[in-house]
Amino acid sequence: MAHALRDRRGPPLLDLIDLKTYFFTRDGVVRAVDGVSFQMHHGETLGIVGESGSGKTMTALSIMRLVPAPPGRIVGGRIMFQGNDLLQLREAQMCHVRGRDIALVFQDPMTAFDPLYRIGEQIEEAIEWHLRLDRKARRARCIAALERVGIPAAPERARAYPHEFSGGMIQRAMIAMALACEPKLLIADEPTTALDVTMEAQIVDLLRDLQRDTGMGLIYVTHNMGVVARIAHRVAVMYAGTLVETAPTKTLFGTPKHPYTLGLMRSVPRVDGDLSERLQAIEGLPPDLIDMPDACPFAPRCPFVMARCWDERPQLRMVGEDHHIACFADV
Amino acid sequence: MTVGSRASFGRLGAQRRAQRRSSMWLDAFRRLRKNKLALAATGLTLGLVLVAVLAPIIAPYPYDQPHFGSSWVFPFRDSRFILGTDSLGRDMLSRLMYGGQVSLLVGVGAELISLVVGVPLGALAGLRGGTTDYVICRLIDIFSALPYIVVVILMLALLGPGLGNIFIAIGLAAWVGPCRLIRGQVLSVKETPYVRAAISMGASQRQLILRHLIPNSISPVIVAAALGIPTKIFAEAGLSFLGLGVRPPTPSWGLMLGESFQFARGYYYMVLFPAVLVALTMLGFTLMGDGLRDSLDPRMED
Amino acid sequence: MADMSSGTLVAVRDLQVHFRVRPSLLTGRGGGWIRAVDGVSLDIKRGETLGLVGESGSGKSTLGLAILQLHRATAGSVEFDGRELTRLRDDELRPIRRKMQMIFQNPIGSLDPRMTVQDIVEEPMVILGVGTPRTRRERVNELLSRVALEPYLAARYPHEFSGGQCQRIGIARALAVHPEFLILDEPVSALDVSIQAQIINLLEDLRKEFKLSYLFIAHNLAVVRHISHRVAVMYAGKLVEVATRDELYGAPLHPYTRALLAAVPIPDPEVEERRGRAELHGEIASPLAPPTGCRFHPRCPIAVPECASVVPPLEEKVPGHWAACIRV
Repeated sequence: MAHALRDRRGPPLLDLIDLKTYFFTRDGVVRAVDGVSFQMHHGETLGIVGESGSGKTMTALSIMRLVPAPPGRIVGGRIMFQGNDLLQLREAQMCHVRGRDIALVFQDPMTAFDPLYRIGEQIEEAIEWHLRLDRKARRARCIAALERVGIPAAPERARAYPHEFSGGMIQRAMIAMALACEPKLLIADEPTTALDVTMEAQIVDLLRDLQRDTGMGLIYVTHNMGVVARIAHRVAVMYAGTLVETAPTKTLFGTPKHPYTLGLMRSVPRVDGDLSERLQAIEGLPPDLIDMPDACPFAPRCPFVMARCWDERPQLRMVGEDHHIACFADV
Repeated sequence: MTVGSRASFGRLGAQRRAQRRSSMWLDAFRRLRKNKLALAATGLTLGLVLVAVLAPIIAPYPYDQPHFGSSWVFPFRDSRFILGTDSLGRDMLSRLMYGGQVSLLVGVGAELISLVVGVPLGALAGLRGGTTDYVICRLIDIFSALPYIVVVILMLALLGPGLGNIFIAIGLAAWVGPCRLIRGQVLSVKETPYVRAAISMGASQRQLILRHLIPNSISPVIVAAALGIPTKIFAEAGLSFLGLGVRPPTPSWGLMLGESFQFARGYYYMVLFPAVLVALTMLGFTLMGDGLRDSLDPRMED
Repeated sequence: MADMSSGTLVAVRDLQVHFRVRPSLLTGRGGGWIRAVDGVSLDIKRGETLGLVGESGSGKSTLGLAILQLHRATAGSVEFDGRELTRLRDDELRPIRRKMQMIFQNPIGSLDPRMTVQDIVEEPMVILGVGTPRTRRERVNELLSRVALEPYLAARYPHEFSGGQCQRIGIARALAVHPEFLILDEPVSALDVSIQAQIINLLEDLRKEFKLSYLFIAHNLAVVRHISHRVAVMYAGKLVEVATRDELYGAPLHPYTRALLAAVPIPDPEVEERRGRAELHGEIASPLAPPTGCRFHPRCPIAVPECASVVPPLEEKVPGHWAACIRV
């Protein structure tokens, strides 16, 4: 049921059009997000997969307009959220979008909370900023949020300080804080990377349940293919700042078409299935993102590379139902 | 499968970085070069040092040569004595130049003494821990409880007057600063993965200290040393001003200030010039030290 | 399978590594012992890779460090090639250290930032007083080539390299003095997925070429499955299961192992859909105040009242397959 095709009619919740976020450094320009476009609908979980340097985190931060301002800058594109271009908003208006309409869950929960204040106070602060509620109502909402993420004895835990929480608990608290104002879109940036396997499973399932119950959109940024298989309806694969493949989850895992996706699938070890003698690693190194030329960024490592790949950058083209890749080859 | 250093793609950035082959010191030097204020300060300081060092050669007169007919001459009045003369007709310019020697000698010499005493003790405390650390920390506590100048004066009382004793006293009384610093550095470097790795390879304590602990702990100490010199210079000036420092006729800027303080109203130049020089020298070293600290600080630039 | 040229290389018996927690000076409370490793016995045979898995607080990293005598054992023994290590002094350990080396979790952090790659890779030789500067330089070139790095990179500094390359440098360093045994503490966790495969393959090749034995410590069960001959699972300082690779992943006995395997997401949406919820509730046992009896019992789906009072011994339930559980 988690992977049934979502109802794709109706306007998209989020529509990224040719988003470009560049970093201007001493050594050159880093095109962290270089023309990324995708759509997301209500009630859908989009998994954004990539390794370090792929631009997945920067894409998430760009949507929230939280790009570190020097040296980074959003230089182009549009971020259409519920029909409005977020890039046209003034900062003051954007502040009312963040935390309320779009919320972000970070990778390191410990640094998302101020160690000097109680958890409850910090969650209530978010509620106070966005919703004009009186004290009692705020408190009730806060407790409700904590309970919804499965924190036992919520009223007592709300009075605790961040350091009194374990890793898994505080990640739940952060999710509670993100959900406190009932956002339409939740972006989770590698929320389980720092957690143990058993804790990760709990958080992933929690997010899946919450997404199903509230019908909100969920963007889950990760490098873990297994998590994506478990939680996402659709997947977008990123490499070196560009989107290389998007497809519904089953399609992506069943018939990956981009050489990078293929390489990734083959190089990831699994706990089940047949064991091959040797992992098929992707040769070479991830590229240096500075001053990338106009070519396919995967060309140096691609087993299917052709002459054309070095001269122009491939655009997304359709290779199946709802399945797009940015590649000149036919794999 | 050979993998070079990112040379497979994105050539430009990689090449640029490859050309700027870097080490910590080269990077620091590059950053320092960009810091205009620090460069100016370094220039100023070097200039002062140069003048002081070359004083015997470039000073127009010996510092203790009186000219009885030409005492109390104002600056820019007499072409023989550009900056004027003092009560005994001694040339101000020459005395100021030689005075620079004293200040720098004390400043740098005392700083070196504080390092020679403080660094080994701090490194030992950080590395050994346990009782050694406890004892040294208590010593630090005791010395920190007394004001610096009081300790200096106490030591001078024990050692007696004289230029040599002054910089020993000023230096020794300040051993606590570098000691604490390096102890902190050593404590944190000790826990790093690469030190663990070295231990797992079987490195002896001596090898650890020489190969890893000292090179990785040294930069804050260098900065602190640069910033500590002005304090020492000021201490010497202050002591000489009070009459507890160098003995006349050795010209120290502080001593010159002390001798001419009473004449400040009428003969302002005798007070102004030494004071300005003390201030400039301190400023020069301080800004240079600041620049050094900023340049040695690994900043996240890309 | 493993090259079983001769028997056991490393033998750990009833090893305990406890850390003292000082009570607060003000209140006098809060003292106690962290039982990081609490009575672990295992063998590592020549030519094999023993995988050691566990989550945080399991004690697996501490165990690795304790075998190398970087943490001194509170009790128990560690034998390497027949020699007992825990009672040796540092200078007696040094010649043995040559034969056991470690690869660390943080690839960049385990390299001294002020040293060049040349200095770093030759350091084991320098520490042990082996070779001359020229022979060392040649050996470094040889080692760098073996880990697929260009020899001219020897003049560079660690911060100029990527994580994967730093790990290769670390591997080159570990091989410098011809060790027999390598402890790899999460060697690929900090690396990108596509680089992990490269390093894993490299490690496998090196093991075969130099006839090494590995203790591969990781929390990533999939990676461990790929590289290990036998696998041991730790929880809260104790071993809960030891078996051959295929046995452990195919027919796990201990409820914790099963829960762990059930929690690992599989990159296959069809499989994931069929799996349903596979959660283990609760928090990992605290090493400061572990539960009585079986440490896993508060979270165990098949626990019975007896589990709270009996510490299950690690027993051979099936030939070659040990588990610490009274219900299996």
